[in-house]
Amino acid sequence: MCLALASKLAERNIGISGLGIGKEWNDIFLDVLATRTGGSSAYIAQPQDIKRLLLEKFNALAQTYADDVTLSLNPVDGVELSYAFRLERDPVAIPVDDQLHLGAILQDASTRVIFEYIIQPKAVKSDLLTVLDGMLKVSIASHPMPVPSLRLHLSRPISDNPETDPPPPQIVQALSRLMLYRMQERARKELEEGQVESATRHLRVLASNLLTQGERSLAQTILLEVDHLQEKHALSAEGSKTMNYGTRAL
Amino acid sequence: MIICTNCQHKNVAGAMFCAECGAQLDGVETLITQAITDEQIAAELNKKAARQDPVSTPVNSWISLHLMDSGKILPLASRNEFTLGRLSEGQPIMPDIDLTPYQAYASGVSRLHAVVKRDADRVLVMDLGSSNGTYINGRRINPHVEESLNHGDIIALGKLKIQVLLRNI
Repeated sequence: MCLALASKLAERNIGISGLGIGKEWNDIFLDVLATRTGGSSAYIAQPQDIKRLLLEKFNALAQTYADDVTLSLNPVDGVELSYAFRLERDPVAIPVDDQLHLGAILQDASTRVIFEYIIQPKAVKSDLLTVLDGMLKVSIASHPMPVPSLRLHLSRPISDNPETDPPPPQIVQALSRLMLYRMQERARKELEEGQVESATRHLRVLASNLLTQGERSLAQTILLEVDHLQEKHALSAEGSKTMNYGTRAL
Repeated sequence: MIICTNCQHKNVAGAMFCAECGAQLDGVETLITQAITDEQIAAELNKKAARQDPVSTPVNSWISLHLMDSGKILPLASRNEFTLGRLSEGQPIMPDIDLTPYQAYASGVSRLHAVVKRDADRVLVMDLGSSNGTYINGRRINPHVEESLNHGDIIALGKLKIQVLLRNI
């Protein structure tokens, strides 16, 4: 019922921002609730964080240039959007649907979203492949008239001899961090399916990767969770949230 | 399909990082060349001489040990076999890796506790008849029996927990 209500709010351009305080709350549910409206959730481990986070939220509201930024996707044969993640601002996984709620755009600040596609061979019909075809709808309060939707069309050339230029380092960097977040997502999903051993293995790998990237504190937290997992076959309430929000913040 | 050279996991074509172990997949080039001046080189060399980087890895290091309680990472190189243990006064045989500075005594590490070695493309650990045992991921292993180690495994010498970080072997 809450999620249905969130969907209705999204239709009315009302966003939800979630703050989870303490340990005993469902972070997955809060994420889903907030992201349905283009919002995000935050984890408050200490009471003194509440004021800081609220101030950030209010400042963001004051600096909003456009809100209710929604990308409506037209289906493209053989091309599947498998994952979407907002890198900046308020990093969060965006639920993949025909309509992607991308959140607000602030003045003098960028919003960056990364999309992962799975492209089947049947999608290749010519030397140009359409990856994205859709409309971007925004609402700009300072404009007296509604802003017309923007048509978005992204295509890539297809060749038997592709260029060997490396991908932009910003994308590689973003993907390397996102990989860590998705690894903990995967481990949590495996746990839900009862695959404790597999989840444990992936969490250990995640901790190793965090260590090599210098994230020692988060790696330690995850290794403690591995111990907890081995004893109780479940993650601790606090540790799982630290893992979720910690990897997201990378 | 792209096969990860680290863990042999099959990844979808186009993936940049292995979904199983997180290693960067072959063919993904991230280095960007940039011109640097002689002054920058000299400054970097001077910085390196003064800095002691506890996490720097020798070129031929095939394994690092992450001591989980202290957070210290010990990269190991130049040999294929290392004994782990605790130095004791008057002891004639010394372990290759002395864990005394890392609360080894309090953790129940024996003087010659275990050996970690590389055998072709495998990494093995063997308990040397220690008093408090050697564990792999919580499971106690039998003395004098070699057991395989994987990247990320946690071995415990008594109560001293060490995570094993392997480079491509």
